[in-house]
Amino acid sequence: MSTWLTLGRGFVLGVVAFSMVGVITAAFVLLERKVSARIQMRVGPTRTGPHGLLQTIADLVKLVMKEDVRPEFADPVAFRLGPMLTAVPAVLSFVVIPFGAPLVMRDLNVGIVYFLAVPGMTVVGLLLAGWASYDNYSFLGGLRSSAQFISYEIPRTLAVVTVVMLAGSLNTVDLLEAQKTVPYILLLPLSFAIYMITTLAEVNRVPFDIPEAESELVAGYHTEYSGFRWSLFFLAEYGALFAAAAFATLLFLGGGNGPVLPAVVWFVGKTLVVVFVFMWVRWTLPRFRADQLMRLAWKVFLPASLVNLVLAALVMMAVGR
Amino acid sequence: MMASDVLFVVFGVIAAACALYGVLTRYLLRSIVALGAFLTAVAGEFYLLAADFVAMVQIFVYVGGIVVLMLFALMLSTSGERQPLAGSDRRGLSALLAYALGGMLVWASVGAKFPAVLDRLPASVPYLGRALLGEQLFAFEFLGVILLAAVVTALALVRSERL
Repeated sequence: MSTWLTLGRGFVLGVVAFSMVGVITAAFVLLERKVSARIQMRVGPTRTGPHGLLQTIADLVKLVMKEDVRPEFADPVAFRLGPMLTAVPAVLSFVVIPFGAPLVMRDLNVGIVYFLAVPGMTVVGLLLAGWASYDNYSFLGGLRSSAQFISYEIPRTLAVVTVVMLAGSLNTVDLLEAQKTVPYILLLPLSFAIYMITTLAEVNRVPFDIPEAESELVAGYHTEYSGFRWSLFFLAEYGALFAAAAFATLLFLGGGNGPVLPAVVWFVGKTLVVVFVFMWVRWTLPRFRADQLMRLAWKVFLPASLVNLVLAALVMMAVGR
Repeated sequence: MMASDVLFVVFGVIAAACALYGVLTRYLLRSIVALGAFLTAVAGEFYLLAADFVAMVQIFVYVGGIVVLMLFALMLSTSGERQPLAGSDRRGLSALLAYALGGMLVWASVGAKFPAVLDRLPASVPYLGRALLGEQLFAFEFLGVILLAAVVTALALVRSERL
């Protein structure tokens, strides 16, 4: 009997994670439009609902009702598989986010490795989508995204390694416990900087959004997609954005630790601040060129993160922990 | 049957089906994607066998790294070509190699004494770290040297082609 209960619980949690990503995407699209509008001295959507709050819901209805177009020469299997393989890892990364001490779907012993590993599967989806579309823009977008992801993955992981060394655990709940007194942003500021910048690259946001640079690639890997399949890419993008911000909160900002208010409020509040910073950067900075992007990854961030790792290890040895 | 037993069988079936498809299909791209699915299913088996760290590293390195690199290489080399592969003209040799390797694996797994599956280990990472930097240090370093040699060789090959 408990077999079916366990499996059913897993299924329900999956549905919850998917719905969460859906709601977060709807909210973030609106937030992004409002933030971008304010930064550019506009007002953003105002007509649909009070202060334009229902704009994304209306957009969503429109998207679902749109015709699903598939280019004539597109590979039928890969074309369908691409958006799914892009969206699912973004949803999967929600499994290990500890919203408050008991509010975590699955408290893995290796939650941090899980978070580094699972979103990496997104690239397979992007590559497939770009290749299947049979279109030069999509193809280039897919290739660029994978090259970028692999390059920035290394300094990002090395930055997270310093956090793991300091906490002495790969478990997300233990990590929060270790940051009870001092959040790691104060102890490891360089790791935080490297994590934030490389994360911008990993979630394909300006100034690192070369894979979907409008001025040169139309829309990159999702050029040929429309309707619901296209919205799956959006789901993946904003789901990954929230997950990355949540992990910045978890790794460096002390997660749900904070006075008075319950842990969930602190956690979501800090995460939203990080998300706002990501959006702020996106609408303030121009885009890098593809070669600048690669040079930055291999010649600046990789050495910087290695030096950071060695420094952190030396300091920890000197302090004696 | 426990839930983990059900999932173990499910992951096993997925892994076997994906492996077969990956070998049988004539489309290189589909075969690589099937390999990715196979590796993910094997990661699921690792997790159910209480090797959670190995499961995560399996996804991290193999799905996120190796499969992506394979796709990348495929797309850079035959970007315009989508035809199915022609059959190999060295079938005999391939079959011999495959059967020899398969036979070795079967022989090794029949002869081996597997320890009983424990309940969840408290944390496998410390054990793994000590083993890699302790008793297995030589093998660990040796693998590093082999990988370095592979990288240098690849660079040398590319360079000689350009000259």
